[in-house]
Amino acid sequence: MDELKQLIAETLQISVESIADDSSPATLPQWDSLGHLNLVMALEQKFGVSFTLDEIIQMQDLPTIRQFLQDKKGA
Amino acid sequence: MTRWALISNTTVAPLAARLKTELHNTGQECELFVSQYSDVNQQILQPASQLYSFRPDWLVLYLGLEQLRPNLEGTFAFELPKQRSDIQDEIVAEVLALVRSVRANCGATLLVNNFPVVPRTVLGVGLDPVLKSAVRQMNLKLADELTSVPNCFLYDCDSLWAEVGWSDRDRRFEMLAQLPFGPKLQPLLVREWLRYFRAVQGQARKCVVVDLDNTLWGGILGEDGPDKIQMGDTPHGRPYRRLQQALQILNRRGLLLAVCSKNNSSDVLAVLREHPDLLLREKDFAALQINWQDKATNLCAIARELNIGLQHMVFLDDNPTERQWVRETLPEVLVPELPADAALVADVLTNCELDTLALTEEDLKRTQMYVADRERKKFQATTPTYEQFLQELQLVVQIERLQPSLLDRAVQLCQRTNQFNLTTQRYTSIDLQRMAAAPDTVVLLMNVRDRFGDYGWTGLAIAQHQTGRAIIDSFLVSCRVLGKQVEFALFAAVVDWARQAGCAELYATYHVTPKNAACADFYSNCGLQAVAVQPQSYVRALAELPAPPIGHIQLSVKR
Repeated sequence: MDELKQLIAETLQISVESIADDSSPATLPQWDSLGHLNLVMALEQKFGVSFTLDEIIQMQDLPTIRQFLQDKKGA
Repeated sequence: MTRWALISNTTVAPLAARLKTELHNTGQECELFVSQYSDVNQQILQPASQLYSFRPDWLVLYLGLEQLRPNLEGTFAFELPKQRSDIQDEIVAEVLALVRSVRANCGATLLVNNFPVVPRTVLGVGLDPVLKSAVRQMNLKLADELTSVPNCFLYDCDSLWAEVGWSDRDRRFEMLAQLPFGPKLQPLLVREWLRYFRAVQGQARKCVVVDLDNTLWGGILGEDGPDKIQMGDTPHGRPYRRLQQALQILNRRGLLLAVCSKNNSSDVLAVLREHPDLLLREKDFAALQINWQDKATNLCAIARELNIGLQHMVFLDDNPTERQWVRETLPEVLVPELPADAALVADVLTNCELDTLALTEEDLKRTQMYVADRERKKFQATTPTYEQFLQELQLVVQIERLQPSLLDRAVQLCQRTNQFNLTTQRYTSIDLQRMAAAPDTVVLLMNVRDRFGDYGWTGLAIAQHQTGRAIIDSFLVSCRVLGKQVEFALFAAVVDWARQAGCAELYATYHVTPKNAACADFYSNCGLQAVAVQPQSYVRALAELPAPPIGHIQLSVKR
């Protein structure tokens, strides 16, 4: 599912290579609060899912996002 | 390149990014200034703020009511009537103070939101109307007050929320980041601003071209015959009737209509002249291309006939193959997708870049003028030479200084004139008023009529004098009077003004755009001498200027 990295790269306007498996706002300066908003909107649109406020607050690294997406798709 | 400032007491950064993208997609770039939501007052009320040193061309304001008055929703209905009315007045006054400060400190075109009416709160049906009515009253008051602020428009945020539905208000993003706009409202808001932008920049479309069979009426004229085509007040006919009504309204507003159809011309003319159910008549169409040629060729012929650019045309056709062909061949023409359900087709016209910002005399007379032009062309065909044709037209040109009643039209001329426009300055009403009031500057408007009718105010020139030299800042003539040599009459009036002002020489420039080649030689033809390139500049001593070729014109200049 490296559609996910692709989407993050597009949304934050950075290269796919610069995204690691465990990237987070701490490792990617472009992943700031505005970047986070854009990312959530892009994820919801692309994968047809909806996150709760709690989930959006918790989604602070790539593994968590991956996990949430898997849970929602499995459901 | 335009400079945009987005000023809001909520988070608008995602809208800024969208704005940049939307503009980029239409080949236009922008510089952006986005305020932090905590410093609206600072940026707007202090003349030395970053906002004003950014010098925006466009300033979009979004003021959230809940940010202006936190917890209004929870308290307003509990106040006494007198206090409620005071609160309302205070809020409106606060917005107006911000607007007036912007107006005093910069000339940007200003877009101001109204407040959305919240459909329901926990107070319930009995008490919700208290705040709702107050919000509606504030919106009315704002609309009323802002009409007197130059170059300022109130965009209807309330309707935009209604259009997407209140459920699009994203409580998560609001709680997370003070972003109240949901994913549906965001693009709609940005496009709304751009509608104003296009209209002001002269990018609005001017002509709707329609196909006939299964577009303007139901059925196929050549197969079903005039008695069987559908456009009457019946369930089958109403979708087409509704489209015709929409076109009728647009036409009345000054938009040109034209027909582009593969049909037998005589069959169609009989319908246009006599069919009892058709709401539009032959005279309502400024051009008719009814033949078996391909539609792209016909659209080009219509553009030539009406002397407008392809980028000003919209084409409606029910046939997806035709639409695709025109889109590929003439990408400048807007060819909207039409819904398969005819009942929904007329609504497409609400979204076709057809906006105008004010209605002028010229708008109301436009189609009439194009019809008069057909008569003129017939007459031209009967006169042996073009010179004789011009002589016999009995042209009357009247030139006056800009006065308040002509302001809307003057702005419109600046916005819309592309072909015969020497410097293409898109001046706003503020710019024009400022120049008209300056002692060293003159803003002249030209009115033209001839034996076939009145063209209205169709030319504008701005000149200023500096130490004995008159400089032409702007010179433009609407395409509808081109070919009559009336531009020389306007030039003569500028020269006359320069002499009165005591100038010794006249200086002018021509700024090349992709559309204004038509006036490339104008200043040379006036007898000015080229002195520089980039921009192409011309000069001549007033005493040496030859008399302009206006023997065929009866000219009156009001000083």
